[in-house]
Amino acid sequence: MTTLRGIAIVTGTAEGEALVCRENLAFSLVDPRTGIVKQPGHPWHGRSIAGKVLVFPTGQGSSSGSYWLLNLGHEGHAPAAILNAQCDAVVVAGAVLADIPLVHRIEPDPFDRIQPGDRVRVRGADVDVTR
Amino acid sequence: MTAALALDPAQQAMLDGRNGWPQQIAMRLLVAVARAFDAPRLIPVASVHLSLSGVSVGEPGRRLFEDLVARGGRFVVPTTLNVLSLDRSAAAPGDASGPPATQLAIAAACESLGGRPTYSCNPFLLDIVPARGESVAWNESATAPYVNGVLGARTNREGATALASALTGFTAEYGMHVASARRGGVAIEVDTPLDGADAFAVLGGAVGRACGARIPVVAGLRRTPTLDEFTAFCAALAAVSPVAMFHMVGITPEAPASLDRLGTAVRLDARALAAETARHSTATGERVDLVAVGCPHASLEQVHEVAALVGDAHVADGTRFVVQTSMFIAEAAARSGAAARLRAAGVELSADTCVHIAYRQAPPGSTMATNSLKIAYLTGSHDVGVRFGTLAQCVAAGVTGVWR
Repeated sequence: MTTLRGIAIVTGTAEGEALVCRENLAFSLVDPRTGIVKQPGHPWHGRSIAGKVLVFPTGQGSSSGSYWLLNLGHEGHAPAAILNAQCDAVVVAGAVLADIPLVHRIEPDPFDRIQPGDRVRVRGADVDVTR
Repeated sequence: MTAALALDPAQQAMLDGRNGWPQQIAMRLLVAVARAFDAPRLIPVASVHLSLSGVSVGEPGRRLFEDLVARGGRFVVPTTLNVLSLDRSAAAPGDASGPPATQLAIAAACESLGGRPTYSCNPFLLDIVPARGESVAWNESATAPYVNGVLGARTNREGATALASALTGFTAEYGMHVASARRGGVAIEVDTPLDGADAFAVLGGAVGRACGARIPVVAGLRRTPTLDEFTAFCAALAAVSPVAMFHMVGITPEAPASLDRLGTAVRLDARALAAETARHSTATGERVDLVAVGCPHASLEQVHEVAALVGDAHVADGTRFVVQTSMFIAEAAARSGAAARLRAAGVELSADTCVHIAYRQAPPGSTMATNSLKIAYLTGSHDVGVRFGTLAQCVAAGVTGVWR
Protein backbone atom coordinates (compact mmCIF):
# COMPACT_ATOMS: atom_id res chain seq x y z
CA MET A 1 0.00 0.00 0.00
CA THR A 2 1.20 3.53 -0.76
CA THR A 3 -0.14 6.70 0.78
CA LEU A 4 -0.42 9.91 -1.23
CA ARG A 5 -1.28 13.25 0.29
CA GLY A 6 -3.24 16.21 -1.03
CA ILE A 7 -5.39 19.08 0.18
CA ALA A 8 -8.80 18.04 1.49
CA ILE A 9 -11.50 20.41 0.24
CA VAL A 10 -14.35 18.28 1.58
CA THR A 11 -12.98 16.25 4.47
CA GLY A 12 -14.24 12.73 4.94
CA THR A 13 -13.53 9.01 4.86
CA ALA A 14 -14.43 6.79 1.94
CA GLU A 15 -13.23 3.72 0.09
CA GLY A 16 -13.80 2.34 -3.39
CA GLU A 17 -12.40 1.09 -6.65
CA ALA A 18 -10.49 3.72 -8.65
CA LEU A 19 -11.58 5.10 -12.01
CA VAL A 20 -8.72 7.12 -13.51
CA CYS A 21 -8.62 9.30 -16.62
CA ARG A 22 -6.95 12.46 -17.87
CA GLU A 23 -10.12 13.90 -19.39
CA ASN A 24 -12.23 16.48 -17.56
CA LEU A 25 -15.67 15.35 -16.42
CA ALA A 26 -19.01 17.19 -16.68
CA PHE A 27 -21.32 15.93 -13.92
CA SER A 28 -24.22 17.49 -15.84
CA LEU A 29 -23.61 14.70 -18.39
CA VAL A 30 -23.87 11.84 -15.88
CA ASP A 31 -27.32 10.21 -15.68
CA PRO A 32 -28.43 10.66 -12.05
CA ARG A 33 -30.82 7.70 -12.27
CA THR A 34 -28.04 5.25 -13.12
CA GLY A 35 -24.71 6.95 -12.42
CA ILE A 36 -23.68 6.19 -16.03
CA VAL A 37 -21.48 8.74 -17.84
CA LYS A 38 -23.10 10.07 -21.03
CA GLN A 39 -20.50 12.70 -21.91
CA PRO A 40 -19.75 12.27 -25.64
CA GLY A 41 -16.27 10.93 -26.29
CA HIS A 42 -15.37 10.61 -22.60
CA PRO A 43 -13.24 7.55 -21.67
CA TRP A 44 -15.84 6.63 -19.02
CA HIS A 45 -18.76 6.92 -21.47
CA GLY A 46 -21.24 4.13 -20.71
CA ARG A 47 -19.65 3.27 -17.33
CA SER A 48 -21.13 3.91 -13.89
CA ILE A 49 -19.32 6.15 -11.42
CA ALA A 50 -21.46 4.95 -8.48
CA GLY A 51 -19.36 4.04 -5.46
CA LYS A 52 -16.09 4.65 -7.32
CA VAL A 53 -13.15 6.84 -6.32
CA LEU A 54 -12.90 9.17 -9.33
CA VAL A 55 -9.49 10.47 -10.38
CA PHE A 56 -9.69 13.15 -13.12
CA PRO A 57 -8.08 16.58 -13.71
CA THR A 58 -11.01 18.94 -13.10
CA GLY A 59 -14.71 19.50 -13.76
CA GLN A 60 -16.11 21.10 -16.88
CA GLY A 61 -19.39 22.06 -18.47
CA SER A 62 -22.64 23.42 -17.10
CA SER A 63 -22.61 25.30 -13.82
CA SER A 64 -25.65 23.21 -12.86
CA GLY A 65 -23.23 20.29 -12.32
CA SER A 66 -23.34 20.92 -8.54
CA TYR A 67 -27.02 19.99 -8.46
CA TRP A 68 -26.44 16.98 -10.71
CA LEU A 69 -23.92 15.73 -8.14
CA LEU A 70 -26.53 16.26 -5.41
CA ASN A 71 -29.02 14.32 -7.59
CA LEU A 72 -26.57 11.44 -7.97
CA GLY A 73 -26.21 11.27 -4.19
CA HIS A 74 -29.94 11.32 -3.71
CA GLU A 75 -30.41 8.42 -6.17
CA GLY A 76 -27.67 6.39 -4.47
CA HIS A 77 -25.24 6.66 -7.40
CA ALA A 78 -22.76 9.18 -6.02
CA PRO A 79 -19.05 8.48 -6.35
CA ALA A 80 -17.35 7.41 -3.08
CA ALA A 81 -14.81 10.22 -3.39
CA ILE A 82 -13.36 12.64 -5.95
CA LEU A 83 -9.63 13.24 -6.50
CA ASN A 84 -8.76 16.16 -8.79
CA ALA A 85 -5.57 17.80 -9.98
CA GLN A 86 -7.29 21.15 -9.32
CA CYS A 87 -10.95 21.10 -8.46
CA ASP A 88 -13.38 23.65 -9.90
CA ALA A 89 -16.14 25.54 -8.08
CA VAL A 90 -18.96 23.44 -9.58
CA VAL A 91 -17.53 20.18 -8.23
CA VAL A 92 -16.62 21.81 -4.90
CA ALA A 93 -20.18 23.06 -4.38
CA GLY A 94 -21.68 19.70 -5.40
CA ALA A 95 -19.32 17.76 -3.13
CA VAL A 96 -20.18 19.99 -0.16
CA LEU A 97 -23.93 19.63 -0.75
CA ALA A 98 -23.76 15.86 -1.36
CA ASP A 99 -21.08 15.34 1.34
CA ILE A 100 -18.62 13.56 -0.97
CA PRO A 101 -14.95 13.60 0.14
CA LEU A 102 -12.94 15.77 -2.27
CA VAL A 103 -9.14 16.03 -2.37
CA HIS A 104 -6.94 17.88 -4.87
CA ARG A 105 -3.27 18.79 -5.56
CA ILE A 106 -2.23 15.29 -4.55
CA GLU A 107 1.44 14.27 -4.41
CA PRO A 108 3.05 12.21 -5.73
CA ASP A 109 1.09 12.51 -9.00
CA PRO A 110 -2.04 10.37 -8.60
CA PHE A 111 -2.26 9.88 -12.39
CA ASP A 112 1.01 7.91 -12.12
CA ARG A 113 0.37 6.22 -8.79
CA ILE A 114 -3.25 5.15 -9.09
CA GLN A 115 -4.27 2.58 -11.71
CA PRO A 116 -7.87 1.89 -12.73
CA GLY A 117 -9.17 -0.88 -10.49
CA ASP A 118 -6.86 -0.09 -7.55
CA ARG A 119 -8.51 -0.04 -4.13
CA VAL A 120 -8.37 3.53 -2.82
CA ARG A 121 -9.15 4.72 0.69
CA VAL A 122 -9.51 8.45 1.38
CA ARG A 123 -8.90 9.70 4.95
CA GLY A 124 -9.07 13.48 4.97
CA ALA A 125 -6.05 14.63 2.96
CA ASP A 126 -4.49 11.12 2.87
CA VAL A 127 -5.09 8.73 -0.01
CA ASP A 128 -4.18 5.05 0.55
CA VAL A 129 -3.72 3.03 -2.64
CA THR A 130 -3.75 -0.79 -2.62
CA ARG A 131 -3.21 -2.87 -5.76
CA MET B 1 0.76 25.94 -0.70
CA THR B 2 -2.66 26.89 0.48
CA ALA B 3 -2.91 30.49 1.64
CA ALA B 4 -4.50 30.79 5.04
CA LEU B 5 -8.11 31.84 4.69
CA ALA B 6 -9.01 34.56 7.18
CA LEU B 7 -12.67 34.90 8.16
CA ASP B 8 -14.00 37.97 9.93
CA PRO B 9 -16.10 37.46 13.11
CA ALA B 10 -19.42 37.70 11.22
CA GLN B 11 -18.30 35.11 8.68
CA GLN B 12 -16.94 32.83 11.44
CA ALA B 13 -20.29 33.05 13.26
CA MET B 14 -22.07 31.88 10.12
CA LEU B 15 -19.63 28.98 9.70
CA ASP B 16 -20.05 27.96 13.36
CA GLY B 17 -23.82 27.75 12.87
CA ARG B 18 -24.66 30.57 15.25
CA ASN B 19 -27.06 32.05 12.67
CA GLY B 20 -28.68 28.74 11.79
CA TRP B 21 -28.16 25.97 9.26
CA PRO B 22 -28.86 27.88 6.00
CA GLN B 23 -25.97 30.30 6.52
CA GLN B 24 -23.80 27.50 7.92
CA ILE B 25 -24.11 25.21 4.87
CA ALA B 26 -23.69 28.24 2.59
CA MET B 27 -20.57 29.37 4.44
CA ARG B 28 -19.14 25.81 4.34
CA LEU B 29 -19.57 25.90 0.60
CA LEU B 30 -17.85 29.28 0.21
CA VAL B 31 -14.99 28.29 2.53
CA ALA B 32 -14.43 25.10 0.51
CA VAL B 33 -14.29 27.13 -2.73
CA ALA B 34 -11.96 29.67 -1.12
CA ARG B 35 -9.62 26.87 0.03
CA ALA B 36 -9.70 25.25 -3.41
CA PHE B 37 -8.58 28.50 -5.09
CA ASP B 38 -6.29 29.86 -2.34
CA ALA B 39 -8.55 32.86 -1.78
CA PRO B 40 -7.22 34.90 1.13
CA ARG B 41 -10.67 36.08 2.23
CA LEU B 42 -14.36 36.29 1.50
CA ILE B 43 -15.61 39.60 0.07
CA PRO B 44 -19.11 41.12 0.00
CA VAL B 45 -21.28 40.80 -3.10
CA ALA B 46 -23.77 43.51 -4.08
CA SER B 47 -26.20 41.20 -5.90
CA VAL B 48 -26.81 37.63 -7.02
CA HIS B 49 -28.37 36.12 -10.14
CA LEU B 50 -29.46 32.55 -9.39
CA SER B 51 -30.21 29.56 -11.62
CA LEU B 52 -33.12 27.40 -10.50
CA SER B 53 -34.40 25.52 -13.55
CA GLY B 54 -36.19 22.32 -12.61
CA VAL B 55 -34.34 20.37 -15.30
CA SER B 56 -30.99 20.91 -13.63
CA VAL B 57 -31.87 21.45 -9.94
CA GLY B 58 -34.32 18.54 -9.83
CA GLU B 59 -36.12 16.99 -6.89
CA PRO B 60 -33.12 16.97 -4.49
CA GLY B 61 -32.62 20.64 -5.30
CA ARG B 62 -36.26 21.28 -4.47
CA ARG B 63 -35.72 19.62 -1.10
CA LEU B 64 -32.64 21.78 -0.51
CA PHE B 65 -34.46 25.03 -1.34
CA GLU B 66 -37.49 24.03 0.76
CA ASP B 67 -35.22 23.09 3.70
CA LEU B 68 -33.60 26.52 3.45
CA VAL B 69 -37.04 28.16 3.69
CA ALA B 70 -38.21 25.90 6.55
CA ARG B 71 -35.04 26.53 8.56
CA GLY B 72 -35.20 30.31 8.30
CA GLY B 73 -32.97 30.97 5.29
CA ARG B 74 -33.12 34.39 3.64
CA PHE B 75 -31.37 36.01 0.69
CA VAL B 76 -29.44 38.85 2.28
CA VAL B 77 -28.56 40.69 -0.97
CA PRO B 78 -30.80 41.56 -3.96
CA THR B 79 -31.21 38.33 -5.93
CA THR B 80 -32.70 37.94 -9.41
CA LEU B 81 -33.89 34.55 -10.66
CA ASN B 82 -32.91 32.85 -13.92
CA VAL B 83 -35.11 30.91 -16.38
CA LEU B 84 -37.54 28.16 -15.39
CA SER B 85 -38.23 24.86 -17.14
CA LEU B 86 -41.78 25.97 -17.96
CA ASP B 87 -43.83 29.05 -18.80
CA ARG B 88 -45.89 29.78 -15.66
CA SER B 89 -48.68 31.42 -17.65
CA ALA B 90 -49.00 28.29 -19.82
CA ALA B 91 -48.80 25.76 -16.94
CA ALA B 92 -51.81 23.43 -17.22
CA PRO B 93 -53.94 22.31 -14.22
CA GLY B 94 -52.50 18.80 -14.75
CA ASP B 95 -49.08 20.25 -13.96
CA ALA B 96 -49.80 20.04 -10.22
CA SER B 97 -47.67 16.89 -10.06
CA GLY B 98 -44.45 15.63 -11.60
CA PRO B 99 -41.66 17.84 -12.94
CA PRO B 100 -43.81 20.99 -13.39
CA ALA B 101 -44.78 20.81 -9.71
CA THR B 102 -41.10 20.46 -8.78
CA GLN B 103 -40.27 23.59 -10.79
CA LEU B 104 -43.15 25.62 -9.36
CA ALA B 105 -42.13 24.56 -5.82
CA ILE B 106 -38.49 25.57 -6.43
CA ALA B 107 -39.64 28.95 -7.75
CA ALA B 108 -41.97 29.44 -4.78
CA ALA B 109 -39.16 28.57 -2.36
CA CYS B 110 -36.79 31.03 -4.04
CA GLU B 111 -39.42 33.76 -3.82
CA SER B 112 -39.96 32.92 -0.12
CA LEU B 113 -36.21 33.32 0.38
CA GLY B 114 -36.49 36.80 -1.14
CA GLY B 115 -35.67 36.16 -4.81
CA ARG B 116 -37.05 38.59 -7.39
CA PRO B 117 -39.37 36.80 -9.85
CA THR B 118 -37.49 37.88 -12.97
CA TYR B 119 -37.17 34.34 -14.45
CA SER B 120 -34.95 35.54 -17.24
CA CYS B 121 -31.46 34.82 -18.58
CA ASN B 122 -31.29 38.46 -19.71
CA PRO B 123 -31.59 40.38 -16.43
CA PHE B 124 -29.82 43.38 -17.97
CA LEU B 125 -33.16 44.31 -19.58
CA LEU B 126 -35.05 44.23 -16.31
CA ASP B 127 -33.61 44.79 -12.96
CA ILE B 128 -30.21 45.11 -11.35
CA VAL B 129 -27.27 46.42 -13.35
CA PRO B 130 -24.00 45.97 -11.42
CA ALA B 131 -21.77 49.02 -11.18
CA ARG B 132 -18.16 49.19 -12.30
CA GLY B 133 -15.76 47.58 -9.80
CA GLU B 134 -18.58 45.97 -7.83
CA SER B 135 -18.30 42.26 -6.93
CA VAL B 136 -21.40 40.18 -7.56
CA ALA B 137 -22.18 36.44 -7.88
CA TRP B 138 -24.08 35.86 -11.09
CA ASN B 139 -25.12 32.40 -12.20
CA GLU B 140 -26.01 31.72 -15.90
CA SER B 141 -22.79 31.61 -17.86
CA ALA B 142 -23.94 34.09 -20.52
CA THR B 143 -24.21 36.89 -17.95
CA ALA B 144 -20.59 36.65 -16.79
CA PRO B 145 -18.89 38.19 -19.86
CA TYR B 146 -21.45 40.99 -19.79
CA VAL B 147 -20.94 41.71 -16.08
CA ASN B 148 -17.14 41.60 -16.38
CA GLY B 149 -16.50 42.79 -19.92
CA VAL B 150 -19.24 45.30 -20.65
CA LEU B 151 -19.96 46.66 -17.17
CA GLY B 152 -16.55 46.28 -15.52
CA ALA B 153 -18.21 44.69 -12.50
CA ARG B 154 -16.86 41.37 -11.22
CA THR B 155 -18.24 37.84 -11.18
CA ASN B 156 -16.99 34.33 -11.70
CA ARG B 157 -19.09 31.88 -13.65
CA GLU B 158 -21.14 30.71 -10.70
CA GLY B 159 -22.96 27.47 -9.96
CA ALA B 160 -24.57 26.55 -6.64
CA THR B 161 -22.00 28.95 -5.19
CA ALA B 162 -24.37 31.78 -6.19
CA LEU B 163 -26.96 30.32 -3.81
CA ALA B 164 -24.37 30.42 -1.01
CA SER B 165 -23.61 34.05 -1.86
CA ALA B 166 -27.31 34.97 -1.79
CA LEU B 167 -27.67 33.42 1.69
CA THR B 168 -24.54 35.01 3.16
CA GLY B 169 -23.77 38.10 1.05
CA PHE B 170 -20.19 36.92 0.42
CA THR B 171 -18.07 35.21 -2.21
CA ALA B 172 -14.51 33.89 -2.30
CA GLU B 173 -11.98 36.42 -3.57
CA TYR B 174 -10.48 34.58 -6.55
CA GLY B 175 -10.70 34.53 -10.33
CA MET B 176 -12.54 37.52 -11.79
CA HIS B 177 -12.55 39.29 -8.40
CA VAL B 178 -8.76 39.68 -8.68
CA ALA B 179 -7.60 42.51 -10.97
CA SER B 180 -4.59 40.65 -12.38
CA ALA B 181 -6.78 37.74 -13.55
CA ARG B 182 -8.92 40.05 -15.68
CA ARG B 183 -6.25 40.99 -18.23
CA GLY B 184 -6.45 39.90 -21.83
CA GLY B 185 -4.47 36.91 -23.06
CA VAL B 186 -5.15 36.66 -26.78
CA ALA B 187 -5.57 39.29 -29.52
CA ILE B 188 -8.44 39.13 -32.00
CA GLU B 189 -8.58 41.50 -34.98
CA VAL B 190 -12.00 41.87 -36.60
CA ASP B 191 -11.65 42.70 -40.27
CA THR B 192 -15.23 43.05 -41.45
CA PRO B 193 -18.09 45.42 -40.61
CA LEU B 194 -20.66 43.96 -38.20
CA ASP B 195 -24.22 45.06 -37.67
CA GLY B 196 -27.01 43.54 -35.61
CA ALA B 197 -27.34 40.91 -32.88
CA ASP B 198 -27.12 38.02 -35.37
CA ALA B 199 -23.69 39.17 -36.57
CA PHE B 200 -22.43 39.68 -33.02
CA ALA B 201 -23.60 36.18 -31.99
CA VAL B 202 -21.45 34.74 -34.78
CA LEU B 203 -18.54 36.93 -33.66
CA GLY B 204 -18.94 35.65 -30.09
CA GLY B 205 -18.74 32.05 -31.31
CA ALA B 206 -15.69 32.72 -33.47
CA VAL B 207 -13.93 34.63 -30.68
CA GLY B 208 -14.74 31.85 -28.17
CA ARG B 209 -13.29 29.24 -30.50
CA ALA B 210 -10.14 31.30 -31.06
CA CYS B 211 -9.49 32.23 -27.42
CA GLY B 212 -9.89 28.85 -25.68
CA ALA B 213 -9.50 29.50 -21.96
CA ARG B 214 -7.61 32.81 -22.46
CA ILE B 215 -9.39 36.17 -22.12
CA PRO B 216 -9.87 37.64 -25.62
CA VAL B 217 -9.08 41.24 -26.55
CA VAL B 218 -11.06 42.23 -29.63
CA ALA B 219 -10.03 45.13 -31.88
CA GLY B 220 -11.30 46.49 -35.17
CA LEU B 221 -14.94 47.14 -34.28
CA ARG B 222 -16.22 50.36 -35.83
CA ARG B 223 -18.65 51.36 -33.10
CA THR B 224 -19.89 50.42 -29.62
CA PRO B 225 -22.25 47.45 -29.88
CA THR B 226 -25.86 47.92 -28.77
CA LEU B 227 -27.21 46.16 -25.68
CA ASP B 228 -28.82 43.47 -27.90
CA GLU B 229 -25.55 43.01 -29.80
CA PHE B 230 -23.56 42.71 -26.57
CA THR B 231 -25.91 40.13 -25.02
CA ALA B 232 -25.84 38.03 -28.23
CA PHE B 233 -22.02 38.21 -28.32
CA CYS B 234 -21.67 37.30 -24.63
CA ALA B 235 -24.03 34.32 -24.77
CA ALA B 236 -22.19 32.87 -27.77
CA LEU B 237 -18.76 33.51 -26.25
CA ALA B 238 -19.71 31.82 -22.96
CA ALA B 239 -21.30 28.85 -24.75
CA VAL B 240 -18.22 28.06 -26.82
CA SER B 241 -15.47 28.90 -24.31
CA PRO B 242 -15.02 28.78 -20.51
CA VAL B 243 -13.97 32.44 -20.21
CA ALA B 244 -15.92 34.90 -18.03
CA MET B 245 -14.35 38.06 -19.46
CA PHE B 246 -13.46 39.83 -22.69
CA HIS B 247 -12.23 43.22 -23.80
CA MET B 248 -12.98 45.39 -26.84
CA VAL B 249 -10.31 48.00 -27.56
CA GLY B 250 -11.68 51.52 -27.31
CA ILE B 251 -15.08 50.23 -26.17
CA THR B 252 -15.17 48.20 -22.93
CA PRO B 253 -14.07 49.81 -19.65
CA GLU B 254 -11.03 47.68 -18.77
CA ALA B 255 -9.72 47.13 -22.31
CA PRO B 256 -6.05 47.83 -23.07
CA ALA B 257 -5.36 50.74 -25.42
CA SER B 258 -4.20 48.40 -28.19
CA LEU B 259 -3.36 44.78 -29.02
CA ASP B 260 0.35 45.45 -28.36
CA ARG B 261 2.13 42.83 -26.23
CA LEU B 262 -0.52 40.21 -26.91
CA GLY B 263 1.34 38.48 -29.72
CA THR B 264 0.06 37.79 -33.20
CA ALA B 265 -3.62 38.56 -33.52
CA VAL B 266 -6.14 36.01 -34.72
CA ARG B 267 -7.77 37.67 -37.74
CA LEU B 268 -11.53 37.26 -38.17
CA ASP B 269 -12.80 38.33 -41.59
CA ALA B 270 -16.13 37.80 -43.36
CA ARG B 271 -14.98 34.35 -44.50
CA ALA B 272 -14.09 33.23 -40.96
CA LEU B 273 -17.46 34.40 -39.68
CA ALA B 274 -19.27 32.62 -42.53
CA ALA B 275 -17.40 29.44 -41.57
CA GLU B 276 -18.45 29.91 -37.93
CA THR B 277 -22.09 30.27 -39.06
CA ALA B 278 -21.91 27.17 -41.26
CA ARG B 279 -20.47 24.91 -38.57
CA HIS B 280 -23.57 25.31 -36.37
CA SER B 281 -25.99 24.02 -39.01
CA THR B 282 -26.15 20.25 -38.63
CA ALA B 283 -29.45 19.51 -40.38
CA THR B 284 -29.45 18.46 -44.01
CA GLY B 285 -33.15 18.38 -45.00
CA GLU B 286 -35.12 21.53 -45.78
CA ARG B 287 -38.03 20.84 -43.42
CA VAL B 288 -38.08 22.87 -40.14
CA ASP B 289 -40.21 21.61 -37.21
CA LEU B 290 -39.36 24.27 -34.64
CA VAL B 291 -38.17 27.86 -34.87
CA ALA B 292 -36.75 29.23 -31.60
CA VAL B 293 -35.54 32.81 -31.23
CA GLY B 294 -34.89 34.84 -28.09
CA CYS B 295 -31.73 33.36 -26.52
CA PRO B 296 -30.79 35.31 -24.52
CA HIS B 297 -34.39 36.36 -23.82
CA ALA B 298 -35.60 38.81 -26.48
CA SER B 299 -35.74 42.53 -25.77
CA LEU B 300 -38.94 44.44 -26.57
CA GLU B 301 -37.24 45.77 -29.72
CA GLN B 302 -36.42 42.22 -30.83
CA VAL B 303 -40.04 41.12 -30.24
CA HIS B 304 -41.16 44.04 -32.38
CA GLU B 305 -38.63 43.09 -35.05
CA VAL B 306 -40.05 39.55 -35.24
CA ALA B 307 -43.61 40.94 -35.52
CA ALA B 308 -42.51 43.28 -38.33
CA LEU B 309 -40.73 40.47 -40.22
CA VAL B 310 -43.73 38.14 -39.90
CA GLY B 311 -46.06 40.90 -41.10
CA ASP B 312 -49.34 39.51 -42.42
CA ALA B 313 -47.96 36.01 -42.93
CA HIS B 314 -48.87 32.97 -40.79
CA VAL B 315 -46.71 30.21 -39.32
CA ALA B 316 -46.67 27.14 -41.58
CA ASP B 317 -48.79 24.09 -40.69
CA GLY B 318 -46.74 21.59 -38.70
CA THR B 319 -44.10 24.14 -37.67
CA ARG B 320 -43.85 25.59 -34.16
CA PHE B 321 -42.43 29.12 -33.88
CA VAL B 322 -41.43 30.34 -30.40
CA VAL B 323 -40.14 33.76 -29.33
CA GLN B 324 -38.60 33.44 -25.87
CA THR B 325 -38.60 36.31 -23.42
CA SER B 326 -39.36 37.31 -19.84
CA MET B 327 -42.82 37.92 -18.42
CA PHE B 328 -41.98 41.64 -18.16
CA ILE B 329 -41.12 42.00 -21.85
CA ALA B 330 -44.14 39.82 -22.78
CA GLU B 331 -46.37 42.23 -20.84
CA ALA B 332 -44.80 45.20 -22.59
CA ALA B 333 -45.38 43.46 -25.94
CA ALA B 334 -49.03 42.94 -24.95
CA ARG B 335 -49.37 46.68 -24.34
CA SER B 336 -47.67 47.63 -27.60
CA GLY B 337 -49.91 45.28 -29.61
CA ALA B 338 -47.02 43.09 -30.83
CA ALA B 339 -48.13 40.11 -28.71
CA ALA B 340 -51.59 40.09 -30.35
CA ARG B 341 -50.07 40.37 -33.83
CA LEU B 342 -47.72 37.45 -33.12
CA ARG B 343 -50.58 35.35 -31.71
CA ALA B 344 -52.69 36.05 -34.81
CA ALA B 345 -49.77 34.89 -36.94
CA GLY B 346 -49.45 31.66 -34.95
CA VAL B 347 -46.20 32.65 -33.19
CA GLU B 348 -45.89 31.66 -29.51
CA LEU B 349 -44.57 34.44 -27.28
CA SER B 350 -43.16 32.35 -24.44
CA ALA B 351 -42.18 33.77 -21.02
CA ASP B 352 -39.94 32.49 -18.19
CA THR B 353 -38.25 29.68 -20.11
CA CYS B 354 -36.44 28.56 -23.29
CA VAL B 355 -36.35 25.47 -25.49
CA HIS B 356 -32.97 24.39 -24.12
CA ILE B 357 -33.96 24.20 -20.46
CA ALA B 358 -37.72 23.50 -20.81
CA TYR B 359 -39.31 20.20 -19.87
CA ARG B 360 -40.91 20.34 -23.32
CA GLN B 361 -37.94 19.66 -25.60
CA ALA B 362 -37.63 19.41 -29.36
CA PRO B 363 -38.25 15.71 -30.11
CA PRO B 364 -35.30 13.58 -31.26
CA GLY B 365 -35.03 13.49 -35.02
CA SER B 366 -36.71 16.88 -35.48
CA THR B 367 -35.10 19.98 -36.96
CA MET B 368 -34.86 23.30 -35.16
CA ALA B 369 -34.02 26.69 -36.68
CA THR B 370 -32.53 29.43 -34.48
CA ASN B 371 -30.55 32.67 -34.66
CA SER B 372 -28.99 31.91 -31.26
CA LEU B 373 -25.50 30.48 -31.52
CA LYS B 374 -25.78 29.33 -27.89
CA ILE B 375 -28.92 27.28 -28.53
CA ALA B 376 -27.46 25.92 -31.77
CA TYR B 377 -24.28 24.90 -29.93
CA LEU B 378 -26.07 23.26 -26.99
CA THR B 379 -28.59 21.48 -29.21
CA GLY B 380 -25.74 20.04 -31.25
CA SER B 381 -25.20 17.47 -28.45
CA HIS B 382 -28.81 16.21 -28.72
CA ASP B 383 -30.39 14.16 -31.48
CA VAL B 384 -31.96 17.27 -32.99
CA GLY B 385 -30.96 18.78 -36.32
CA VAL B 386 -30.07 22.50 -36.28
CA ARG B 387 -30.37 25.26 -38.86
CA PHE B 388 -28.47 28.32 -37.66
CA GLY B 389 -28.86 31.67 -39.38
CA THR B 390 -30.24 35.18 -39.12
CA LEU B 391 -33.53 36.24 -37.55
CA ALA B 392 -34.87 36.98 -41.06
CA GLN B 393 -33.98 33.43 -42.18
CA CYS B 394 -35.64 32.01 -39.05
CA VAL B 395 -38.84 33.98 -39.65
CA ALA B 396 -38.90 32.84 -43.29
CA ALA B 397 -38.49 29.23 -42.11
CA GLY B 398 -41.33 29.73 -39.64
CA VAL B 399 -43.83 30.95 -42.22
CA THR B 400 -42.84 28.54 -45.01
CA GLY B 401 -41.84 25.50 -42.92
CA VAL B 402 -38.62 25.07 -44.88
CA TRP B 403 -35.08 26.44 -44.62
CA ARG B 404 -33.54 28.14 -47.61
